[in-house]
Amino acid sequence: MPTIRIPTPLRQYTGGAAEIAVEGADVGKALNALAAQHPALRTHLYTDDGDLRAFINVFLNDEDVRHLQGPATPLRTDDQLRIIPSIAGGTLTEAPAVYTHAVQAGQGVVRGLRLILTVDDLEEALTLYRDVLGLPVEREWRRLSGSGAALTLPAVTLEVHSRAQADFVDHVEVGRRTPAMVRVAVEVDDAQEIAARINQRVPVAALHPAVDTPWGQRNVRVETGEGVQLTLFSILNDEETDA
Amino acid sequence: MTVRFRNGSRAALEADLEAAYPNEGAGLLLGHRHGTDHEVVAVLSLPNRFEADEQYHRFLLSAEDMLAGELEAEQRGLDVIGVYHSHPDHPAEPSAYDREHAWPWFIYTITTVAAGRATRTRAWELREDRSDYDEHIVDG
Repeated sequence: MPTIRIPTPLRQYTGGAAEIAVEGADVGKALNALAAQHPALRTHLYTDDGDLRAFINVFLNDEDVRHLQGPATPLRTDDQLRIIPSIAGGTLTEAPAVYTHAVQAGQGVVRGLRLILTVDDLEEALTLYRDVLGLPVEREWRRLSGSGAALTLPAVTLEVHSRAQADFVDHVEVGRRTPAMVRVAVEVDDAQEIAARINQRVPVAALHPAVDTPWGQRNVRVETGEGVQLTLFSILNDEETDA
Repeated sequence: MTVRFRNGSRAALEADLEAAYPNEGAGLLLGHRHGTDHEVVAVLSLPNRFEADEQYHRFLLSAEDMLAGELEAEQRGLDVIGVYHSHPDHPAEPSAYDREHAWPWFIYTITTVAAGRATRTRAWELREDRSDYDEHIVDG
Protein backbone atom coordinates (compact mmCIF):
# COMPACT_ATOMS: atom_id res chain seq x y z
CA MET A 1 0.00 0.00 0.00
CA PRO A 2 1.38 3.49 -0.75
CA THR A 3 2.36 5.55 2.28
CA ILE A 4 2.12 9.24 3.01
CA ARG A 5 4.74 11.00 5.15
CA ILE A 6 3.10 13.69 7.33
CA PRO A 7 4.94 16.95 8.13
CA THR A 8 5.41 17.69 11.83
CA PRO A 9 2.79 20.49 12.05
CA LEU A 10 0.04 18.19 10.77
CA ARG A 11 0.83 15.17 12.97
CA GLN A 12 -1.40 16.54 15.70
CA TYR A 13 -4.30 15.68 13.36
CA THR A 14 -3.13 12.10 12.76
CA GLY A 15 -2.77 11.05 16.37
CA GLY A 16 0.95 11.73 16.18
CA ALA A 17 1.53 9.35 13.26
CA ALA A 18 4.39 10.39 10.97
CA GLU A 19 3.63 7.92 8.21
CA ILE A 20 0.25 6.56 7.14
CA ALA A 21 -0.59 3.81 4.66
CA VAL A 22 -3.52 4.63 2.37
CA GLU A 23 -5.35 3.01 -0.53
CA GLY A 24 -5.34 4.98 -3.77
CA ALA A 25 -4.66 4.38 -7.43
CA ASP A 26 -3.44 7.94 -7.86
CA VAL A 27 -2.20 10.86 -5.78
CA GLY A 28 -5.60 12.57 -5.59
CA LYS A 29 -7.37 9.42 -4.35
CA ALA A 30 -4.63 8.72 -1.78
CA LEU A 31 -4.87 12.23 -0.33
CA ASN A 32 -8.65 11.99 -0.16
CA ALA A 33 -8.33 8.67 1.62
CA LEU A 34 -5.96 10.31 4.11
CA ALA A 35 -8.44 13.13 4.79
CA ALA A 36 -11.22 10.60 5.19
CA GLN A 37 -9.18 8.65 7.76
CA HIS A 38 -8.24 11.85 9.62
CA PRO A 39 -10.96 14.43 9.00
CA ALA A 40 -9.22 17.19 10.97
CA LEU A 41 -6.60 17.23 8.24
CA ARG A 42 -9.00 18.19 5.48
CA THR A 43 -9.24 21.89 6.20
CA HIS A 44 -5.45 22.16 6.33
CA LEU A 45 -4.98 20.36 3.03
CA TYR A 46 -7.86 21.65 0.94
CA THR A 47 -9.62 24.94 0.23
CA ASP A 48 -13.38 25.20 0.47
CA ASP A 49 -13.48 24.50 -3.27
CA GLY A 50 -11.75 21.18 -2.78
CA ASP A 51 -8.40 22.23 -4.27
CA LEU A 52 -5.11 21.52 -2.56
CA ARG A 53 -3.95 24.66 -0.73
CA ALA A 54 -1.21 26.61 -2.52
CA PHE A 55 1.34 26.12 0.23
CA ILE A 56 0.74 22.34 0.35
CA ASN A 57 3.18 20.52 -1.88
CA VAL A 58 3.08 16.81 -2.57
CA PHE A 59 6.15 14.85 -3.55
CA LEU A 60 6.12 11.37 -5.02
CA ASN A 61 9.38 9.64 -4.21
CA ASP A 62 11.07 13.03 -3.97
CA GLU A 63 9.54 14.58 -7.10
CA ASP A 64 6.90 17.32 -6.97
CA VAL A 65 3.71 15.85 -8.47
CA ARG A 66 3.09 19.21 -10.17
CA HIS A 67 5.92 18.17 -12.49
CA LEU A 68 4.24 14.79 -13.08
CA GLN A 69 0.49 14.46 -13.63
CA GLY A 70 -0.69 16.29 -10.53
CA PRO A 71 -3.52 14.55 -8.65
CA ALA A 72 -3.85 12.08 -11.55
CA THR A 73 -0.30 10.80 -11.05
CA PRO A 74 -0.65 7.01 -10.70
CA LEU A 75 0.65 5.28 -7.58
CA ARG A 76 2.30 1.89 -7.08
CA THR A 77 2.21 -0.18 -3.91
CA ASP A 78 5.69 0.77 -2.77
CA ASP A 79 5.41 4.49 -3.56
CA GLN A 80 5.90 7.06 -0.81
CA LEU A 81 4.17 10.42 -0.87
CA ARG A 82 5.38 13.33 1.22
CA ILE A 83 3.36 16.39 2.16
CA ILE A 84 5.76 19.32 2.30
CA PRO A 85 4.73 22.84 3.34
CA SER A 86 6.02 25.97 1.62
CA ILE A 87 7.15 28.46 4.20
CA ALA A 88 7.10 32.23 3.74
CA GLY A 89 7.14 35.36 5.84
CA GLY A 90 8.45 38.87 6.11
CA THR A 91 8.33 42.20 7.87
CA LEU A 92 5.63 44.84 7.90
CA THR A 93 7.63 47.39 6.05
CA GLU A 94 7.08 48.31 2.45
CA ALA A 95 10.13 50.55 2.31
CA PRO A 96 13.68 49.38 1.81
CA ALA A 97 15.74 48.86 4.96
CA VAL A 98 17.34 51.92 6.49
CA TYR A 99 20.80 50.37 6.44
CA THR A 100 22.47 49.16 3.27
CA HIS A 101 25.76 47.41 2.70
CA ALA A 102 28.78 49.65 2.51
CA VAL A 103 30.52 49.36 -0.86
CA GLN A 104 34.26 49.72 -0.96
CA ALA A 105 34.96 52.19 -3.76
CA GLY A 106 38.61 51.86 -4.48
CA GLN A 107 41.67 53.02 -2.52
CA GLY A 108 40.93 55.31 0.43
CA VAL A 109 43.26 58.23 1.10
CA VAL A 110 42.35 58.51 4.81
CA ARG A 111 44.92 57.07 7.23
CA GLY A 112 43.05 58.04 10.40
CA LEU A 113 40.10 60.07 11.58
CA ARG A 114 39.95 62.47 14.50
CA LEU A 115 36.69 63.85 15.82
CA ILE A 116 37.30 67.24 17.49
CA LEU A 117 34.77 68.67 19.93
CA THR A 118 35.08 72.29 20.99
CA VAL A 119 34.17 72.60 24.65
CA ASP A 120 33.74 75.50 27.07
CA ASP A 121 34.90 73.49 30.10
CA LEU A 122 37.73 71.08 29.33
CA GLU A 123 37.80 69.52 32.79
CA GLU A 124 34.08 68.83 32.63
CA ALA A 125 34.48 67.23 29.21
CA LEU A 126 37.37 65.08 30.47
CA THR A 127 35.29 63.99 33.43
CA LEU A 128 32.66 62.78 30.99
CA TYR A 129 34.77 61.11 28.30
CA ARG A 130 37.90 60.12 30.23
CA ASP A 131 36.57 59.38 33.71
CA VAL A 132 32.98 58.18 33.32
CA LEU A 133 33.15 56.66 29.83
CA GLY A 134 36.70 55.50 30.51
CA LEU A 135 38.22 56.40 27.14
CA PRO A 136 42.00 55.90 27.31
CA VAL A 137 44.08 59.08 27.09
CA GLU A 138 46.47 59.25 24.17
CA ARG A 139 47.80 62.61 25.28
CA GLU A 140 46.80 65.76 27.15
CA TRP A 141 48.23 69.26 26.85
CA ARG A 142 47.93 72.51 28.76
CA ARG A 143 49.43 75.55 27.06
CA LEU A 144 48.86 79.25 27.20
CA SER A 145 47.78 79.03 23.61
CA GLY A 146 45.19 76.38 24.36
CA SER A 147 44.53 73.04 26.06
CA GLY A 148 43.08 69.76 25.05
CA ALA A 149 43.24 66.01 25.17
CA ALA A 150 43.16 63.19 22.69
CA LEU A 151 41.25 60.09 23.78
CA THR A 152 41.32 56.83 21.88
CA LEU A 153 38.18 55.05 20.76
CA PRO A 154 37.82 51.27 20.46
CA ALA A 155 35.86 51.13 17.20
CA VAL A 156 34.82 54.11 15.17
CA THR A 157 32.48 54.50 12.26
CA LEU A 158 31.70 57.71 10.51
CA GLU A 159 28.02 57.73 9.62
CA VAL A 160 26.52 60.26 7.28
CA HIS A 161 22.77 60.60 7.58
CA SER A 162 20.26 62.44 5.46
CA ARG A 163 18.16 65.01 7.30
CA ALA A 164 15.22 62.59 7.10
CA GLN A 165 17.29 59.80 8.70
CA ALA A 166 18.49 62.15 11.45
CA ASP A 167 14.91 63.29 12.07
CA PHE A 168 13.77 59.66 12.28
CA VAL A 169 16.40 58.79 14.90
CA ASP A 170 15.69 62.02 16.81
CA HIS A 171 12.00 61.18 16.95
CA VAL A 172 12.73 57.65 18.18
CA GLU A 173 15.24 58.77 20.85
CA VAL A 174 13.87 62.14 21.90
CA GLY A 175 10.40 62.53 20.43
CA ARG A 176 11.36 65.61 18.44
CA ARG A 177 13.89 66.94 16.00
CA THR A 178 17.15 68.27 17.44
CA PRO A 179 19.22 70.89 15.63
CA ALA A 180 22.67 69.36 16.02
CA MET A 181 24.69 68.60 12.90
CA VAL A 182 26.95 66.16 14.75
CA ARG A 183 25.91 63.45 17.20
CA VAL A 184 28.20 61.16 19.16
CA ALA A 185 26.88 57.67 19.88
CA VAL A 186 28.73 55.34 22.24
CA GLU A 187 27.94 51.69 22.82
CA VAL A 188 27.94 50.62 26.48
CA ASP A 189 26.74 47.56 28.38
CA ASP A 190 23.92 49.43 30.16
CA ALA A 191 22.86 52.74 28.67
CA GLN A 192 20.64 53.76 31.57
CA GLU A 193 23.29 53.05 34.19
CA ILE A 194 25.99 54.97 32.33
CA ALA A 195 23.61 57.88 31.74
CA ALA A 196 22.93 57.97 35.48
CA ARG A 197 26.66 57.96 36.25
CA ILE A 198 27.26 60.81 33.81
CA ASN A 199 24.43 62.76 35.38
CA GLN A 200 26.06 62.45 38.79
CA ARG A 201 29.39 63.86 37.59
CA VAL A 202 28.72 66.44 34.88
CA PRO A 203 25.81 68.77 34.09
CA VAL A 204 24.16 67.13 31.11
CA ALA A 205 20.57 67.54 30.07
CA ALA A 206 18.74 64.21 29.84
CA LEU A 207 16.60 64.83 26.81
CA HIS A 208 14.32 61.84 27.16
CA PRO A 209 13.89 58.66 29.21
CA ALA A 210 15.53 55.54 27.80
CA VAL A 211 13.95 54.22 24.61
CA ASP A 212 13.93 50.68 23.23
CA THR A 213 14.46 51.31 19.53
CA PRO A 214 12.98 49.38 16.61
CA TRP A 215 16.53 48.30 15.74
CA GLY A 216 17.03 46.39 18.97
CA GLN A 217 18.91 48.84 21.18
CA ARG A 218 18.19 50.70 24.40
CA ASN A 219 19.14 54.35 23.82
CA VAL A 220 19.49 57.33 26.13
CA ARG A 221 20.11 60.78 24.62
CA VAL A 222 21.75 63.52 26.63
CA GLU A 223 22.94 66.96 25.66
CA THR A 224 26.23 68.27 27.04
CA GLY A 225 26.80 71.84 28.14
CA GLU A 226 28.11 72.73 24.67
CA GLY A 227 25.08 71.25 22.97
CA VAL A 228 26.76 68.00 21.85
CA GLN A 229 24.11 65.36 21.25
CA LEU A 230 25.37 62.23 22.99
CA THR A 231 23.57 58.91 22.52
CA LEU A 232 24.40 56.11 24.93
CA PHE A 233 23.19 52.80 23.51
CA SER A 234 23.25 49.18 24.59
CA ILE A 235 22.27 46.14 22.58
CA LEU A 236 19.11 44.52 23.91
CA ASN A 237 19.20 40.83 24.69
CA ASP A 238 16.32 38.47 25.41
CA GLU A 239 16.31 39.14 29.14
CA GLU A 240 15.84 42.86 28.65
CA THR A 241 12.32 42.74 27.30
CA ASP A 242 9.30 44.79 28.08
CA ALA A 243 6.94 42.10 26.74
CA MET B 1 6.48 27.43 27.11
CA THR B 2 10.15 27.57 26.23
CA VAL B 3 12.48 27.28 23.28
CA ARG B 4 15.88 26.09 24.41
CA PHE B 5 18.87 26.31 22.09
CA ARG B 6 21.61 23.71 22.54
CA ASN B 7 24.82 22.65 20.80
CA GLY B 8 25.74 26.12 19.58
CA SER B 9 22.55 26.26 17.52
CA ARG B 10 21.79 29.83 18.60
CA ALA B 11 25.20 31.06 17.48
CA ALA B 12 24.82 29.26 14.15
CA LEU B 13 21.39 30.82 13.64
CA GLU B 14 22.68 34.33 14.35
CA ALA B 15 25.69 33.89 12.09
CA ASP B 16 23.48 32.74 9.23
CA LEU B 17 21.10 35.68 9.59
CA GLU B 18 23.95 38.20 9.86
CA ALA B 19 25.38 36.78 6.64
CA ALA B 20 22.03 37.29 4.90
CA TYR B 21 21.77 40.95 5.97
CA PRO B 22 20.46 43.32 4.64
CA ASN B 23 18.13 40.66 3.27
CA GLU B 24 15.95 38.36 5.31
CA GLY B 25 17.56 35.02 6.06
CA ALA B 26 15.68 31.87 7.07
CA GLY B 27 16.06 28.21 7.88
CA LEU B 28 14.72 25.32 9.87
CA LEU B 29 14.84 24.59 13.58
CA LEU B 30 15.66 20.91 14.14
CA GLY B 31 15.17 19.17 17.46
CA HIS B 32 12.40 17.85 19.65
CA ARG B 33 9.19 19.11 21.11
CA HIS B 34 8.11 17.98 24.58
CA GLY B 35 4.59 19.28 25.17
CA THR B 36 4.94 23.05 25.19
CA ASP B 37 8.73 23.00 25.59
CA HIS B 38 11.04 22.92 22.59
CA GLU B 39 14.64 21.89 22.28
CA VAL B 40 16.59 23.13 19.26
CA VAL B 41 19.49 20.79 18.64
CA ALA B 42 20.56 22.17 15.26
CA VAL B 43 19.57 24.73 12.68
CA LEU B 44 19.57 24.26 8.93
CA SER B 45 20.12 27.28 6.72
CA LEU B 46 18.05 27.33 3.54
CA PRO B 47 18.13 29.72 0.58
CA ASN B 48 15.69 32.60 0.48
CA ARG B 49 13.87 31.90 -2.79
CA PHE B 50 11.77 35.08 -2.85
CA GLU B 51 12.36 37.44 -5.79
CA ALA B 52 15.77 39.02 -5.26
CA ASP B 53 14.63 42.63 -5.03
CA GLU B 54 11.96 41.77 -2.44
CA GLN B 55 14.26 39.85 -0.11
CA TYR B 56 14.86 42.89 2.07
CA HIS B 57 11.40 42.24 3.55
CA ARG B 58 10.25 38.78 2.38
CA PHE B 59 11.50 35.22 2.57
CA LEU B 60 10.36 32.00 0.94
CA LEU B 61 11.55 28.46 1.60
CA SER B 62 10.76 26.41 -1.49
CA ALA B 63 9.15 23.00 -1.37
CA GLU B 64 12.30 21.37 -2.76
CA ASP B 65 14.46 22.96 -0.08
CA MET B 66 11.93 22.02 2.61
CA LEU B 67 12.04 18.44 1.36
CA ALA B 68 15.83 18.43 1.60
CA GLY B 69 15.49 19.84 5.10
CA GLU B 70 13.06 17.12 6.16
CA LEU B 71 15.35 14.40 4.80
CA GLU B 72 18.32 15.91 6.60
CA ALA B 73 16.34 16.04 9.85
CA GLU B 74 15.24 12.42 9.48
CA GLN B 75 18.80 11.32 8.80
CA ARG B 76 19.89 13.00 12.03
CA GLY B 77 17.01 11.58 14.06
CA LEU B 78 15.52 15.04 14.61
CA ASP B 79 12.15 16.64 13.91
CA VAL B 80 11.57 19.89 12.03
CA ILE B 81 10.07 21.83 14.93
CA GLY B 82 10.00 25.26 13.39
CA VAL B 83 11.42 28.00 11.24
CA TYR B 84 13.86 30.79 12.01
CA HIS B 85 14.09 34.05 10.10
CA SER B 86 15.31 37.61 10.50
CA HIS B 87 13.77 41.04 10.46
CA PRO B 88 16.53 43.37 9.24
CA ASP B 89 16.43 46.56 11.31
CA HIS B 90 12.94 45.78 12.54
CA PRO B 91 11.38 44.42 15.71
CA ALA B 92 11.36 40.66 16.26
CA GLU B 93 7.56 40.52 16.14
CA PRO B 94 5.39 38.66 13.62
CA SER B 95 3.92 40.80 10.88
CA ALA B 96 0.54 40.36 9.25
CA TYR B 97 2.39 38.73 6.35
CA ASP B 98 4.10 36.32 8.75
CA ARG B 99 0.75 35.38 10.26
CA GLU B 100 -0.86 34.86 6.87
CA HIS B 101 1.78 32.29 5.95
CA ALA B 102 2.42 30.61 9.28
CA TRP B 103 1.57 27.05 10.31
CA PRO B 104 0.21 26.18 13.75
CA TRP B 105 2.46 23.95 15.87
CA PHE B 106 5.70 25.25 14.35
CA ILE B 107 7.86 27.55 16.42
CA TYR B 108 8.79 30.68 14.50
CA THR B 109 11.83 32.49 15.85
CA ILE B 110 12.39 36.02 14.62
CA THR B 111 15.73 37.76 15.09
CA THR B 112 16.31 41.47 14.70
CA VAL B 113 19.51 42.03 12.72
CA ALA B 114 20.37 45.68 13.32
CA ALA B 115 23.04 47.16 11.05
CA GLY B 116 24.33 43.69 10.32
CA ARG B 117 24.40 42.46 13.89
CA ALA B 118 21.96 39.94 15.37
CA THR B 119 20.42 41.40 18.49
CA ARG B 120 17.15 40.13 19.88
CA THR B 121 15.53 36.73 19.17
CA ARG B 122 11.93 36.02 20.10
CA ALA B 123 9.93 32.83 19.60
CA TRP B 124 6.31 32.64 18.52
CA GLU B 125 3.69 29.93 17.97
CA LEU B 126 0.57 30.61 15.90
CA ARG B 127 -2.66 29.81 17.69
CA GLU B 128 -4.83 27.08 16.22
CA ASP B 129 -7.50 29.59 15.17
CA ARG B 130 -4.79 31.73 13.48
CA SER B 131 -5.99 34.82 15.39
CA ASP B 132 -2.71 35.59 17.12
CA TYR B 133 0.60 34.21 18.35
CA ASP B 134 1.66 32.97 21.77
CA GLU B 135 5.18 33.95 22.74
CA HIS B 136 7.61 31.38 24.14
CA ILE B 137 10.57 32.12 26.39
CA VAL B 138 13.90 31.78 24.57
CA ASP B 139 16.63 30.06 26.54
CA GLY B 140 20.26 29.57 25.56
